[in-house]
Amino acid sequence: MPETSTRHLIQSVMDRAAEHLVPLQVSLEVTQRCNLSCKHCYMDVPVEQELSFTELKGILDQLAEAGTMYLLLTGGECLVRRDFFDIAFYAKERGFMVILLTNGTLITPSVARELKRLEPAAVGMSLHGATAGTHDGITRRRGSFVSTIRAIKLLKGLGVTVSLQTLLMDSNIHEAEAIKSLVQRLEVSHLLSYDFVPTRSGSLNPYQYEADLTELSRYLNYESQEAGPADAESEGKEVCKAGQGICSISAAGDVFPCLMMPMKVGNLRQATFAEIWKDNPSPELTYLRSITWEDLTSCKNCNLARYCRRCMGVAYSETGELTKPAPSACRNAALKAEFFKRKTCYEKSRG
Amino acid sequence: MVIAVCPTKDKRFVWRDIAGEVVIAERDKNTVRVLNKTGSLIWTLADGTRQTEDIAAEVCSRFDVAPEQARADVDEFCQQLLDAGLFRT
Repeated sequence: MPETSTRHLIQSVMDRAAEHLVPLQVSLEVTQRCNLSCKHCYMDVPVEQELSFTELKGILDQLAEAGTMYLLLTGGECLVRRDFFDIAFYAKERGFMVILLTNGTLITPSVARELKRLEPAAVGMSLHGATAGTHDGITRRRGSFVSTIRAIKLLKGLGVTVSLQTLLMDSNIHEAEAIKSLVQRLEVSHLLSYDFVPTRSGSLNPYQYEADLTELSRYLNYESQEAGPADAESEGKEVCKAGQGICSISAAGDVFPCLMMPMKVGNLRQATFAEIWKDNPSPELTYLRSITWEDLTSCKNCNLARYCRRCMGVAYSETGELTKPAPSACRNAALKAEFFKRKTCYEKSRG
Repeated sequence: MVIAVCPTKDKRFVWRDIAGEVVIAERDKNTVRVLNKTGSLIWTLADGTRQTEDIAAEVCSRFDVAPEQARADVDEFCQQLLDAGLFRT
């Protein structure tokens, strides 16, 4: 009975799903509302009428039928919905592997116990700093740091898998080491990233908060294991699975190829998921699915490709086209390449 | 060994059939199992209402395998899944 937790097998399952247009991994925004106001938030579109619980049940039924296994419940802040647990437990009943993204501030002891009962694969949260001043400065909500840390401890204490993420930016990079120490003390998994994304409306406003490249370089010098060069034969050349094995659904039922790609391909109040995804896909979705590495005319010949983590959705947001280089990806790839150049020189000099 | 019971899936596991191959994941863990076509059929049929001999008969009707061999294979596979905690009786 083969069992593995390796990324390789999960990747091969994703490949197979994409090949057969099975939306194995779906992000479902249950609300656009949020009790925080993070300065770099990507959700900048007007709040639309949310899908009701009844509508969501119908959509979850359709997704189960379509083969979705990994269901990411997100927002906004999904816990602001009073019927959140009705939705989440219905998803569990329909056999989804539920993953939850939350800011954690609404997780009280009783909410934590409900989350334990839900048995999510993971609860993901953002940790923006190692101190209340830094974290709350980014969320623009006093007390959010204390609430998030309390939530992490509550869930951890109940045995729920917590996964933290920190986006390094101008206002928290000075705490990078302290954040790492804090996370170690909390004993939860953690990912540091430095990739900003445009807002849902396509605005590049969040990029104004990018960390200074020199500072980031200093940090990366210290974090070699998190900035290793991609394998030239695979990672740098992969075209993403958005719109094939991955899908995203907004709080108002709009269907997108993925969370990062604001290219609407249908609405679930106007058509069924099967119609949007398989039976009658939009020209945009059909085009997206046809793109191969060969169509990325600039990227395919770029000597930074092995350092690049190009996201098709970000490229679309930044340039309005799916196949153009994403300027932010180019900046990050150049930074990464420079780091490895210096690292190689350093290692050679030490013999 | 002959398993004269009706195996069923343990509810800790979620699964989907992706183009004829069953993918199984444990609800709160980051593990994945992928079954081949025969295993996928057995998994799908194991719903607590069928005995292993019924499942073996179905395997026989869909794959080119002798009844005795199908019965032995189904029993062995079900026992593996019982041992691994994916099936219960």
